[in-house]
Formats: sequence, structure tokens, C-alpha cells
Amino acid sequence: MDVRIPIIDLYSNLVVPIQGAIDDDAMARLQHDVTQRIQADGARGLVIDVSGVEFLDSFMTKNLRDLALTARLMGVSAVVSGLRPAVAITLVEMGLEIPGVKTTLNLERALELLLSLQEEEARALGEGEGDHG
Amino acid sequence: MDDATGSVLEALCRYFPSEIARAIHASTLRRARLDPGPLPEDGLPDFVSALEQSLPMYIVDPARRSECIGAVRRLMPAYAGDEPSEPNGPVSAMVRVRSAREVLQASDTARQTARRVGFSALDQTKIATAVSELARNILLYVGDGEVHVTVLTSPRRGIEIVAVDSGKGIADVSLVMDAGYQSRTGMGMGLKGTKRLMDHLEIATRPGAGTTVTARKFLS
Repeated sequence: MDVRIPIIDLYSNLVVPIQGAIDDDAMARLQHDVTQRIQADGARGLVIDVSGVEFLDSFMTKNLRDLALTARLMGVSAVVSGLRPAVAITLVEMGLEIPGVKTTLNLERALELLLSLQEEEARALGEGEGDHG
Repeated sequence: MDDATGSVLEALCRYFPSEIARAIHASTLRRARLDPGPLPEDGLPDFVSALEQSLPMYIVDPARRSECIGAVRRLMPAYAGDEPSEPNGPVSAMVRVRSAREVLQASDTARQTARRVGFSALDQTKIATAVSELARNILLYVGDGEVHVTVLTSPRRGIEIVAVDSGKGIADVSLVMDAGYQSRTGMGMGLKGTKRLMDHLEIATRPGAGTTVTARKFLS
């Protein structure tokens, strides 16, 4: 029953597909594993895909948000993708949001968003260097 | 030889989202040492016994697990006449909550009961979420308690959730239900959020005498 959530390296982004109900221990381990991998792989972005998640309570939502914010603090753009309609409706009805975290319809759009954020970042860096020259 | 893959997936999809059903199907084939391709009908007995071994990883609740196994087993001609076990399920169920796993189990039990009562998929999700909140409160603040799930039939059809613990109680109920309240563990939305998901929620608590939260939702 000791299921480790996989972390997949995709075009130098890390993708974490979460399936089913998230066990608290699995979530705690995930936080550890993801931050380690971000540092070890020099990942540029993180996608937490929750399309396989049947429901999110306030505790699980907070854990997800913490994971995304931790990644961001490490300098990695983080996106949560694939919230199911029933899950999204339930979160809104409860008054829960995921403030400060970008969400996308699906994994594909999450990767597109990360790519455009990374291009923007690269452009900003390039312009910054231009100013000095 | 007929390929049973489609009907097996159809049965599994009644219990899992399709992508998970496919993953379970593939891993069960491996476990049963069957070809990853089409599943011949004479491979079903091996498939079912492999599924019986792996399913506890995916479905915590024993009753729902045996329902799911039964649904696949009935695809075999010899078992085709079997009645689904307890089509209406038990009228009441109790889950003891002492671990994160049991929080999930309570939530899962409520979802199945809600499905049997006839709630929509959206309402099933709301009820599963509400029960997860209540069970998690028990785990986080008391460490031990019970969640009772009961089918209501009169005056209206619905579901009743009773979460009971014998902890310290809630000193100020109006405080935790206040819009600005922020708990140390969650986002401060546990009980408030639960109330919004259900039609009715009441809290009976006294300092030192534990807490009983009763929540109901009715079919519209």
C-alpha cells in the first residue's frame, strides 16, 4: 500500500501526476522528493496534475498549494493542472481557492504555459543585459 | 476467442476514472502473467484472482472491493447469473478514524452510500469531501473517533453523516464557523466549508465532553 507518487522529467520540467485520493504520508514524501528533484535535475518548471484526483478537502488543497509555493520559492514556476469539474465546483462552494498558484485545464496547457513563462523570463534577462551594454 | 478487454474495462470504469481503470487493467494483466494484448475469455479466472490480490491497493472499503470484483467475475459465463451483492448496500455504516487511511476510508464509504442513494456525481464529490473534512478534524484534533454514514428515507431521501469524538470539545463553536477564522492546520475552512457542501450541519459539543457533528444532505 506504500505507493510513491511518480515524478516525471519532461522537457526539463517535472510532472507529478497525482492519482486517486492522496494519502497524507504520500503527500509529505512527495514534498520532499519534488524539492530534491528540483535541485538535483535543475528543473525549470513543475506541473502537479490532479486530473486523477476524485476530491480535495481543505487539508489536501493546502498541501498542494504548499508544494507549488515551495517550488516557486526555489525559483521554479509551478502549475496545477486538470482539476476535475466536480472538484473545482466543490472547492469554490467551500470557499477554498488556491491563491498564488496558476492552474490550467490540462497537462498540455500547463506545459505550454510553462514554456511561455520561461521564454518571457529569458527575454527579460536578455533585455536586462542589453541595458548594461 | 472473444476479447474480454472491453467488458473488463467497462466494469472497472464503474469504480474508477477511466485512466486509472486502464492502469489497473494493465497491471493486473502483468500480475496474472497474461499477454498485454487482447484478454481471451479463458484468461478471466487468472485475471480475477490477480485482481483480488491487487485491488486492496485501490479500494480501501471491503464491501466496495467485493462489489468491484463481483462485477468483473460476472463476465465469466459460469458466474453470469450471480446477483450483485447487496444491490442497495447496508443502510448504515461506521468507520473508526485513527489514521489518514481511515479518513480516506470514511470518505470512500460516504461516496458509495451517496451513489446508492442516487446522488449525482457532483453531489457524491461534495459528500465525499465533506466527510473527509469531518474525519480529518477528528484525526488532527482528537486522534480517534467514528464516522457514521446512514441512508435517510423519510421524510426525504438523503444521507446523514455523524462524526463523533470524545476529545476536548470545541470551546467556541461560533468562532470556528466565523468567516475570518484561520485554523493552524488547514485553511480555516473545514467546518464552514463542510456546512456549505451539505444541506444541514449542527455541532453538539461541550468542553471536555467531546464533539458530535451531524450533517445531512437530501436528494433534490
